[in-house]
Amino acid sequence: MDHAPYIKTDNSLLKYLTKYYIAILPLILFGIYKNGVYLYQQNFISFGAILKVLILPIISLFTSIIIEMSYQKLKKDKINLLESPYILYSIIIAMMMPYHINYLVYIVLLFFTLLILRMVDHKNLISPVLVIYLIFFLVFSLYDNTAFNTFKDENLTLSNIKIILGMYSGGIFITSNILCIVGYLLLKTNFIYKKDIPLYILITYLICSFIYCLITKTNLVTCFLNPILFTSVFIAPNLFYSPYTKNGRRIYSIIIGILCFLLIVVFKLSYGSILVIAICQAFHKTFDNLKRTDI
Amino acid sequence: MGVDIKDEYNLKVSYKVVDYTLPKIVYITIAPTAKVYVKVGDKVLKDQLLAEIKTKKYYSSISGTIIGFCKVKDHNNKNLPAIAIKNNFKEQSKKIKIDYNNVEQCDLKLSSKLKTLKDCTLIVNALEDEPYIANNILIIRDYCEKILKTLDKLANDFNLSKVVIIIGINDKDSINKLWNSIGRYPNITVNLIDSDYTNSCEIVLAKKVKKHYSNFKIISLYDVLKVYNYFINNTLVSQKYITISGRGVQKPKVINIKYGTPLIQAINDNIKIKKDLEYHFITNGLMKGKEVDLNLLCMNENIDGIIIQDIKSYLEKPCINCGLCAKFCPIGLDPKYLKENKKYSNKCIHCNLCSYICPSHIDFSKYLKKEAK
Repeated sequence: MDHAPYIKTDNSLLKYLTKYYIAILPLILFGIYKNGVYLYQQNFISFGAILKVLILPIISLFTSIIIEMSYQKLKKDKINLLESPYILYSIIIAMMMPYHINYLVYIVLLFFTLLILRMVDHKNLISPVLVIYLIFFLVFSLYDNTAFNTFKDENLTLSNIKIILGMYSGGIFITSNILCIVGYLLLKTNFIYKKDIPLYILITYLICSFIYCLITKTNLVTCFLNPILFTSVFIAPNLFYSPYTKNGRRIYSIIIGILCFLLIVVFKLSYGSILVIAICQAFHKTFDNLKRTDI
Repeated sequence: MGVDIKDEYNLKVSYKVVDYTLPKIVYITIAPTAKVYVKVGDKVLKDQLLAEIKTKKYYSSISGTIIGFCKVKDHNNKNLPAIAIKNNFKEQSKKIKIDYNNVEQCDLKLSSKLKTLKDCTLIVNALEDEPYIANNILIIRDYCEKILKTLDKLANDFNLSKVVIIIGINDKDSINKLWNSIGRYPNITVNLIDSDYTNSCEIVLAKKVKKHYSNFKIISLYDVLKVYNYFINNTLVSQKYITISGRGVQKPKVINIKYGTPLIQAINDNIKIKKDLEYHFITNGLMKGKEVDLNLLCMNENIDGIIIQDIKSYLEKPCINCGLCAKFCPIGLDPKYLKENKKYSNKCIHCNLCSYICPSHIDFSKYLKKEAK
């Protein structure tokens, strides 16, 4: 380098992704408890099935590593798995899957998903979340979508505390709202993380839900009986598919917050946040160009 | 939003300023088009006019004999003609009388600043411009009383409503020094702001000051020292503090050095350079400086420091759309947009913060230059 600056920040994609993995780790551990230890204690499953919940993330990890390595080898790039966001995407896909999905179906779906994602390689408008949503659509049509886990919600008494803790059915590893907040607090310590996006989404969602609950006299906590926190914290601020300008990020987040409220609270589509984020991420460049004053 | 560029190499300077004001020969760099008033063999006095162009005059920093003309390098690594003067070590100086009316004859830049001072708030920018440069801390320590006296004089002469010295919040030594002496000068106050990089840039500082003062003018600490020399001491400025720092230096120091002194001499005589790696010489800091050939570099008023450092090469990776370049740009530009759309903004202050902060190590400075468009 023959010109200034002669120093650069030590912040990197690798550091960010490492923090991201650390942030989702408590959710995975909670998933093991909720879908393993707790179910064993309730005599739903045998002792040997406690760690069964880990099969999906492990399948995801290996499938994504194989695809990533093959792709990088084909492109004759230096193999670098640690900085690949596709491995992270595959783990997030696993986290949102139903507990009893057929592994073969999952492997086939994941393989093609990752292959598409890798081929478009962030240069296209196809957001990974959109692809994930399409998988969901397929999976939902194959399975009974009320039976996301071994136990059903109607088998449990859902107190407010249980909802906040995440003790209800849903994606294997994504139901704990408390741990999503912990993950957010950890991620926000990294410069790269777009920390204002989850904040604006959740504030907008909360305000709309609060007004709705006041009018309809329903329990506000039930508005969080869905993956709104997980998707806001871990999916909406996706580096490659979310706006980067201040105004863009704000508009994007507020729109997601409002649409999430409409789909989840009003139209009772509990996984609506994924669809909303997928659509908004497809237009992230448009959001960046709105109200551009900083040229 | 500024950035606190971490002192990752622990480059704290020694609190003892090294005096290097008696060089054997000085080389006064002049513009290639300058009209020269001296010839080889002429005896010159300190502060004697040697050459001039329309916008600048060149004075001798020592007394002695003209021994020749040669080519040297300036802080931007450009070749420039220079007048070589052999020191007679007598420091005989030409008597000069500078007042506000004739200051433009020796310092046009300062003169234009002083002309606009009437009835305003004077902001003295004592923030350090670059990380690893520490001249201002030692200037305040060594010249505190003179600085305050000069500012008091300016306040009275120009009917200034207030004089505010801006210093970094982390600069505890300067804070203590100023607060111990400021009581006798009711016109002068000290304001603290974050020591983040780019806060010292005049445009950025003006933005921050605007919130508190409506009619203000900003001058640097170095300008205050010039005013002291011109109007109180009746001499020209012929020497300056520079920081010698960097990973290649065993003990970073600040040196008081005469204009025209060959920097290789000053460094060889005062600084121990490590031998473990190949070190490069960078003028004026790692963020905005330039790598130079030290063998031909002579001290001039535009040099604030020499950083002796091994130069790392950074692999440029694809953009990850994090937006940090836009978030941290001190004047609110969007470097990513400018780069991708091959646009140029004349607002860019070339602080290089976007290149520093980019986690993909994209070298925005390369794309934001006008020549690149």
